[in-house]
Amino acid sequence: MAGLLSKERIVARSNFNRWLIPPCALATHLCIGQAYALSVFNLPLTRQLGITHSVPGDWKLTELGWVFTIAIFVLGASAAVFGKWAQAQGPRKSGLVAAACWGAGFLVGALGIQLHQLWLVYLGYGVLGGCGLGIGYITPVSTLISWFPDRRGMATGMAIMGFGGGALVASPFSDFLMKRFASDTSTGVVESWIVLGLVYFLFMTGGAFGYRVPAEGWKPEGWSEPPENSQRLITRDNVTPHEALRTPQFWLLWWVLCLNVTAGIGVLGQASAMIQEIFRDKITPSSAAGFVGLLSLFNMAGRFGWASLSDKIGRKATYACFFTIGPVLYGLVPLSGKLGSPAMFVGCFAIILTMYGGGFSTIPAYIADIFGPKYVGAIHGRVLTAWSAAGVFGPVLVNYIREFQIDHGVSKDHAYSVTMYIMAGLLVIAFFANLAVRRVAERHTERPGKPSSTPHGATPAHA
Amino acid sequence: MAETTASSAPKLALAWAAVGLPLLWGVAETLYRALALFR
Repeated sequence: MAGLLSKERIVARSNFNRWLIPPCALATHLCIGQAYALSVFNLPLTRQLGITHSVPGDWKLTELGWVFTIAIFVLGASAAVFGKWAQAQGPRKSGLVAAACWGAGFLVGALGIQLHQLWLVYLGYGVLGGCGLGIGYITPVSTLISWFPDRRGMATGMAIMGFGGGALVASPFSDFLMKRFASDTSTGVVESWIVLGLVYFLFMTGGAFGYRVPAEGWKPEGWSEPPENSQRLITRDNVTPHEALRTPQFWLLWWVLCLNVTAGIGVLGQASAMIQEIFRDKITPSSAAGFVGLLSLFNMAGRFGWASLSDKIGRKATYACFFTIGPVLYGLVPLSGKLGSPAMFVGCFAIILTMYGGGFSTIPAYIADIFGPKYVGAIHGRVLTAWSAAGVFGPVLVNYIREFQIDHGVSKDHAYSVTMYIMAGLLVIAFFANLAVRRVAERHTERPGKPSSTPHGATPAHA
Repeated sequence: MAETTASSAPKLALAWAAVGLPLLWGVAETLYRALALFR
């Protein structure tokens, strides 16, 4: 079995078509993207005992909110811890481990729901599933960058678009399953989680077995490595994951991702309530749900669009777009409320969400440009801890600021204005962090004849 | 797609359909729900 999963076993033949790799990556990311649709289970989970309505002893929404928070925190932590391992073992083995963790996370979570033991749901979906999220998220990155050195942004953007798209599939599919399994004695959540766990395991396993890595020295036909370009920061040198942590560039990129995600995640969770409270007379709960769906579409589209554009204009310029357009749009949101223009409000958030998604999908290519492609999976895994931090920090910041203002007499529809200005401020800080990114100093890079500072166990992307 | 070979074309179609069809279904469902915003 170990041989079947080994990296050496999946070296592609010379006539292998590289366009077979993105569907494998999408198979992984479409499944783990379910995490963004977890909230569809929240209300049914609050009436697991009462079935038709909540009764004493049923779980509260605040308790259930921790399932997602733990999963996102473990995503970042496991990506950081297992990133090097995943890259060394190759995409088939790490993809299969991700499938097992993600599938088992649902099954253990379903057991927790059935036994009404919330800690088991935290352990199953949060910790085990979170490991599946983290390992699954980084699994295709270095493989895609190896296969598409000429279109790094587009290739990783395509996979990470799948993470955004996963929620679009999971949300109606979960609704369908719950309706199918709901009865007088069940909300249908346990059965749905069992089906989801099995379906996701099979789909991700299919993707894992489809991965191939390019042979040493392979290049796309007719493509030659571009000359080093100090303006676009693309380097041919490689920096080990261990050494990357010692560079200011790593921490600048960490903050760039963290601040971009904090701003986006903070409003994503509040979008439905925000549009209803600001446009009280014009927006119904059902049209607010439509607004949230629309944001998911723009989030997904931005992942592919911005990452592909970054191949043309460069990563630094792409993030500079996010951090100049973003603050302006956040600043326009309170104005749209004052003008009573839902169209302006929706338009601002649609573009903001493309940049939120684009921030995720462009970062692997940015890392490959700055630190070289050899250890991109491992370094990307460590940068993803920024997501964990933002996942906790973003919603807390938005909720705290809003509560503080309401407690001090600000009306609900105006309470979001200060939040928007603070989010704009975060993006301005991110602008300067991105501006400060320079080429990595030569002393940090691996050079022929120079002793490598790679710790034991780290192996190159396609060694 | 220049490097598509005759033998890989069915594989490619199958692989992309396997991920593309669920994604298209999800996008269509989301768009349908989003229409409520414009009614």
